[in-house]
Amino acid sequence: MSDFICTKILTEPLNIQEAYNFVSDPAHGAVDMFIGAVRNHHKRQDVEGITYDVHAPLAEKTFQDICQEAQTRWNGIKTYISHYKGRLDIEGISVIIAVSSPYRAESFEACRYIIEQIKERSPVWKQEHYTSAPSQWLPGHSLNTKNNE
Amino acid sequence: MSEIKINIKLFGAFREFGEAVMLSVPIGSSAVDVKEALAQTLDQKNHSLVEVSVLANDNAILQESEVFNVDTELSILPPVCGG
Repeated sequence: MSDFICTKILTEPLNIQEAYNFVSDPAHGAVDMFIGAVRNHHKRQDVEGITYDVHAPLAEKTFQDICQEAQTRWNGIKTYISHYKGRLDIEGISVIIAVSSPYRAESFEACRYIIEQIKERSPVWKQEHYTSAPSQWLPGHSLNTKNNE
Repeated sequence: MSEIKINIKLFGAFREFGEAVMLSVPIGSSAVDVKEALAQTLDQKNHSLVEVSVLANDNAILQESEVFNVDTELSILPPVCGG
């Protein structure tokens, strides 16, 4: 963890205040935060929870890479990512991204960039649990570049 | 031909097969060879899932040309959907 980047994978509840505290800065007038939460429906199925599986060492490295890329694009921002590992019920928080910057445009753009990159590149998987059907691992984005050409 | 052992940790949809599987493959096998051996071990149904998955160690995703000459621990990573 540096003064500008903090990334975590946790099996305990994610902490919104901690995310804010990390990126808060006297010179930064903007803080943008994305919070991912478990939804109670997906494709007409009633969902009762999601299990998040994570390859922790690689996910941590990917989060760091993504934050460094964001800092290269938007100079001077502070970034925080925490991602949950394990099972969450409805409304449970699965991911928190916080970005701060002197002005709002950089925070909005960097926060969006980070969540989209996490979804595309990070070794994290979701198993949805339904009220009236067997649990199912969701399809995703292949990390094999040959499959994405 | 001498063989090496490749322990492959399982993630996501592969979890139904447990935490890990141990494969014996010839020395000098490539990542493609290891994936093929994994697909055969798991069963035909999962061939397509193995195909779109990648092998990794704890530091990086491995190229398909990666060659293994000693006992190794790897992970198989199916398509991702975090966040």
